[in-house]
Amino acid sequence: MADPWASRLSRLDEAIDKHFAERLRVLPRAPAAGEYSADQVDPDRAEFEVQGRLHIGRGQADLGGDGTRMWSTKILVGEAMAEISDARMPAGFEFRKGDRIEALDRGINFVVETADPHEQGLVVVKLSRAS
Amino acid sequence: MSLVRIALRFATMKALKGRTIAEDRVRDSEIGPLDEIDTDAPAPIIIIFTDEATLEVPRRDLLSQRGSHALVIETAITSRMKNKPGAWEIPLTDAGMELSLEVIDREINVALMDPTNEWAEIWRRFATPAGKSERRRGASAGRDGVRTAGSQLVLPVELVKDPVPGEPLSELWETFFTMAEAEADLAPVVPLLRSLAAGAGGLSSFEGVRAAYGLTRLEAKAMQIEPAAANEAAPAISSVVLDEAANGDGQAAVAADVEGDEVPA
Repeated sequence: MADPWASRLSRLDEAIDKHFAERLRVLPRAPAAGEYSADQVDPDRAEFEVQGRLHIGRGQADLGGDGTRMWSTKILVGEAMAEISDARMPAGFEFRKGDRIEALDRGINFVVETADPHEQGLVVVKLSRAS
Repeated sequence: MSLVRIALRFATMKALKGRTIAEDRVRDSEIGPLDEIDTDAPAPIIIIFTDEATLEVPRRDLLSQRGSHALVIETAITSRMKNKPGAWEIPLTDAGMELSLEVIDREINVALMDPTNEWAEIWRRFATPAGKSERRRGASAGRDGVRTAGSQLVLPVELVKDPVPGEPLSELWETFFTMAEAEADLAPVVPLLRSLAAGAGGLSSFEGVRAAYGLTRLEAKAMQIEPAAANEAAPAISSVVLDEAANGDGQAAVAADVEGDEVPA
């Protein structure tokens, strides 16, 4: 018998996705040949499109890093995170640090910093902006 | 405000433009946050600041820039930037960003020392590095949604004196203004800077000396650099006292009371 709580959570996720999810293209990347080489397409994991919820914060920070306050240059920052329902993910796919995600409707690119597949019913991916 | 600090930033900016992998992305005192995505070429950026200085003011010579001025050159690289084939091809890995910063640091030093770089020559004539420079490295590992790497060079420099209003411009200042007038981005502010350097004019040569050192009229008079006014009466001496007992060597000490303001020692 299906867990009624999981079922409710899944329906809730679907409802939220209906309003807030957007098209994301996931581009799996293979580790670079070295620290001074660009990453490459991962031939073992195919790219795919998926609906996911993207959260992008807005702010500014000191170029020197958190709380240094010794620098004059400020940069635009904003925490970025994608939440993708487990049910929408290709079977067996796991995000890796360095994978890329394109927000197709916004034209913004991201790199995966960390992925947490252990949220109930969701994959939560921490992102940083990419060119 | 200091004209020579403005000149230093201009000269630094121009001396570095096109001489590093930041190409022409060298800016003067960017205050707001960098929005590198909005540029045509999102690539490393160099920003010049002269925010801090510790100065000695010799008496009232406020135009003297004697002391230490901090020339700050910050370089920013972020994960939102884009490699440019043929110009900047170092990948935006953590190690690649660090390498790019080191490359730019080296290019900055070489550019400012380059004998064929005319703006660097102006820079060298305005500024003499003095004291210990500091280099700071900053980074953010993407926690705020952007990976960044920054380099901050703080170079203490001694600068030449600001031009004295009313005095003819020195050859250095004249050369600087002429070169700045030839630069499209600097030309609009050169008339203002020139007028600040020249002052209102109309000062006699004696007044020019007073203006240069912030001397009061009496100080100038005491130093005999003020012509006596044609109608000025000789100072009235009310008394002269000879005090032979004041010195043990038999020489008399003379004290005279002169009416008027006291001349500071």
